[in-house]
Amino acid sequence: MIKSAHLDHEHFILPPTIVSKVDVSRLVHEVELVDSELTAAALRTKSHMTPHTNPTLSDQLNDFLQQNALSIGTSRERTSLIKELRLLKDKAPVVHMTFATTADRESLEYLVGWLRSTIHKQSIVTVGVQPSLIGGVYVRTPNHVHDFSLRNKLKGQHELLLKELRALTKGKKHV
Amino acid sequence: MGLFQSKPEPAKKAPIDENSDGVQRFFENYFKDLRGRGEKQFEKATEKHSDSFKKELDATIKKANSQLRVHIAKQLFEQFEDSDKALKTAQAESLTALNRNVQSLEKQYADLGTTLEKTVNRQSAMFTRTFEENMARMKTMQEAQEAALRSLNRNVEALELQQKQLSVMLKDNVAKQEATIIEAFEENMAQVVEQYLVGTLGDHFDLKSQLPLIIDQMEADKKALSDDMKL
Repeated sequence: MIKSAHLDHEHFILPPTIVSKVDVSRLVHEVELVDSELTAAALRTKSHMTPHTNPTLSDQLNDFLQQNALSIGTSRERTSLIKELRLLKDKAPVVHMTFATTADRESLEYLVGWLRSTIHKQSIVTVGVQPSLIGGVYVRTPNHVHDFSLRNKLKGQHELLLKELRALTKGKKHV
Repeated sequence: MGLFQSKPEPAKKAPIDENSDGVQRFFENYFKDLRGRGEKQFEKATEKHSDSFKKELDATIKKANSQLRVHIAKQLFEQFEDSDKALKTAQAESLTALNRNVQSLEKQYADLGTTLEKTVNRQSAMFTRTFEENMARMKTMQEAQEAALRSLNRNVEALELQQKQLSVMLKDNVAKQEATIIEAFEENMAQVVEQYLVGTLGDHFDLKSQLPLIIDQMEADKKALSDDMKL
């Protein structure tokens, strides 16, 4: 693993596999587990009880460590990482996205990628489902809402549709 | 009366101490002879006295009969008198009792008559009063019926009028409602079309196919989104 000189959650790069706040929480939890496991292993090594083995990491954590060039070899590194990850979890900007249908992982990763490349590099999302939206997405940022749903589109076109229908019914009457 | 009394037997002489047959036979014959003579004399005397006795007896019987007849007549007369008196007394008492009963009956009859008359008068008064009351009630009821009939007639007229007015109003309202419904239908048609679209597209739009559209929309609002996140 690559050793990092300075840790700061504001500079963390989140891989596309980490999509939601839950993923960040899971990351924190995993690092905590690894830390306790490695600490225990170090103690056992010192007392020559069992041979030292590296713990198996999840893909998410591996991606995160690689993208940020981080190491969790020492106890201090792990402690710092845990602390920064907790800060990231609390401070990362959350975008709530509501879809008309259930969102698949691939699509979510694609959207999060777009958000991180365009809006904020540490954006994370929470996902909801509302079938009445018909299609599109209903986005809620910390301060505003943006309705990109088909329902909203139709509502906007209501008068136009009505006009068209009236014209249609009148045309039928004349015929 | 010593006619039928037997003569007293001569006193028996004391028996002779000398029990000789000759003497005894002598006395027996002597006594026989005496008895025979005595019987004859007795028969003679009896015949002689029987006639007079018969006469006396007849006279006596006649006398006794007459006396008995007189006595019986007297007794009967007395009894008849007693009976007559008792009868008269009983008749008088009966008459008195009858008179008393007659008076009592007359009095009772009079009382009964008075009571009956009073009852009849009372009943008559009661019937009259009841009849008058019923007549009054009947009159009241008749008046009430007439009033109700008048009221009903008025109501019928009012209802007919209301019905006409309602009919006119209903026609107007129906025309208005029809216009409103048509208008509402025209307006709701857009919603119907929207609902149809929701029903039709809702289940067939998967997120992957929507991604380009979503990205385009977010791209269009990129600046606003970016500003929100920086705040």
